[in-house]
Amino acid sequence: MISSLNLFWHLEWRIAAIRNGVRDALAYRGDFLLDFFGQAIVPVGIQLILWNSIFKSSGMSTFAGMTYAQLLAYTWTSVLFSQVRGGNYDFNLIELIRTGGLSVYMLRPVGVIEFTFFRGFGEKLFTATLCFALGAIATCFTSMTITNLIMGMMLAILGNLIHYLFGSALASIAFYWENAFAVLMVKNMAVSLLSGELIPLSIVPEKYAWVWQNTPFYLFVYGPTQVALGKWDHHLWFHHMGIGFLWLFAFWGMIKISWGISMKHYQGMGG
Amino acid sequence: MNQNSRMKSIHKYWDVFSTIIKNNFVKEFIYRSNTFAMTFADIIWVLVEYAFFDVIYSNINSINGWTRPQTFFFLGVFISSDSLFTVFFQRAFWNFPYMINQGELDVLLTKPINPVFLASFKDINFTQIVNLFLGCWIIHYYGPEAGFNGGIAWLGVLFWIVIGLITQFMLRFCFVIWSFWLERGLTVSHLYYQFYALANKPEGLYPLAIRYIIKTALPFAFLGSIPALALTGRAHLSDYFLVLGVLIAYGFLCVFLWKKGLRRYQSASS
Repeated sequence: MISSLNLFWHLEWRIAAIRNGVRDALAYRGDFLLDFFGQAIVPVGIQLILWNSIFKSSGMSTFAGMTYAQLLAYTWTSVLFSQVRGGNYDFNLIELIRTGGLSVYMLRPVGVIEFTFFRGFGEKLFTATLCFALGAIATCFTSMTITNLIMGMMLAILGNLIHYLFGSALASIAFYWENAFAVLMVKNMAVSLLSGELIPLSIVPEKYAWVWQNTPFYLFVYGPTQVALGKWDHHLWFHHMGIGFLWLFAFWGMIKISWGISMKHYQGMGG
Repeated sequence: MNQNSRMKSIHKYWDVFSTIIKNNFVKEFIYRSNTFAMTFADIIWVLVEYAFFDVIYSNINSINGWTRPQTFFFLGVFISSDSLFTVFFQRAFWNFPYMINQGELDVLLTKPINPVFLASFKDINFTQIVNLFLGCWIIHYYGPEAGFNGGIAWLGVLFWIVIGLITQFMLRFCFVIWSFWLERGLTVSHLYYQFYALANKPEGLYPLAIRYIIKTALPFAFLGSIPALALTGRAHLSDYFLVLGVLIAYGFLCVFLWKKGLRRYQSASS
């Protein structure tokens, strides 16, 4: 009886945090939609124009081994996942440390890292559902299958979690520097290039390819897009999900160590 | 206004500006580690931009008449111009919607100095200054191959960097001013940075309709493309007149929107 009550409590606060995040995201619906479509459509439009210019001006039939149609398909599909990969909620953690707001969470029976994740994830879950719906509509007109879309979305959500855990581990620097905003900015810039949302990672020259191949960021956008487009089969999907879980455990361990050590520095008055 | 009072006014503004610089410098060094890391972040941003074009040009020699050196020269001019804007105005513009929505603008309106001046220079970010040097280094490195003569022509670089700074200031102002009418003006700031992606690619990459837009309605081409063309001797006389005409029109638009916005302002939750 006690353990079932305990389980209920553990589930209840997480659902409440997600619901809270969804409500917060939708408090200003107009702003949310403008933000969502602005973030999705404008960068895609610019990328499409770039590919068009490259093919039109050069007269080439392929660019770095990809045809015009393949580049267009990649660009359109990647936007579904680049919206899910987001998650700037690790910035909330550094703000809590900097301002001393973390103290409030220390009194609560919930972990601050988990709580911040579930609250931010609420918003991303809504975005993921919206992207999934758009992707599902696209399956009616393209060769993308619903199974591939689901698999891609699962990989993107795993990517979202990895991204957050990595950001949270880095956020512990705020205990020493008082403000680690810049560190998370560097992370976001690295992610924007190495996740495949700016360009397909397959066109990166061989001599630089090791950079993205040895980081987990390709699992955020490039990987899910490859799965959705059918370039990665079920075996590859399992393989990369496995790699994703390894990164997940690695960052989880990193958080345990870094926050465990860093919390000893916390004074409740701003880091 | 006679000569004496004009001099007094300039002196007053200079005093305020130097105080703001001093205060912001102290503020930056309260979080020293973050300031150094922010400088590093800014360098990474340049590297990301550089890597993007490096990947593209490792697969192609020229895009719509823009060769590799010309594109990197453009990037140098764009980075230099953008860095100055970021140093002086970027943070202040991010805070502008909050100032309006939370009624903090009241404080500035009651001061005996132009509130736009105070609001714009409120929050200076010194870390980006490093990008000005990086941008100039890129101009210097790719300049000869791109058709830039160097020497006295560096004065032209300075001129176009200032033009880029003025353009970006007015563009950003016209976006952020909608905070007077919106519940959360932050979204419009986000939208600005989505359109801003039009600025960090040479105008030749875009189709004619978009080229026209980024030279008139949203003059992002004045940040890098037109300056790069002018500095490498590829601009037409009409481009200079266009820059002048559009900037004057934008100047009037900024003043008009600011006055309209102030009439709408209600101190709290405007």
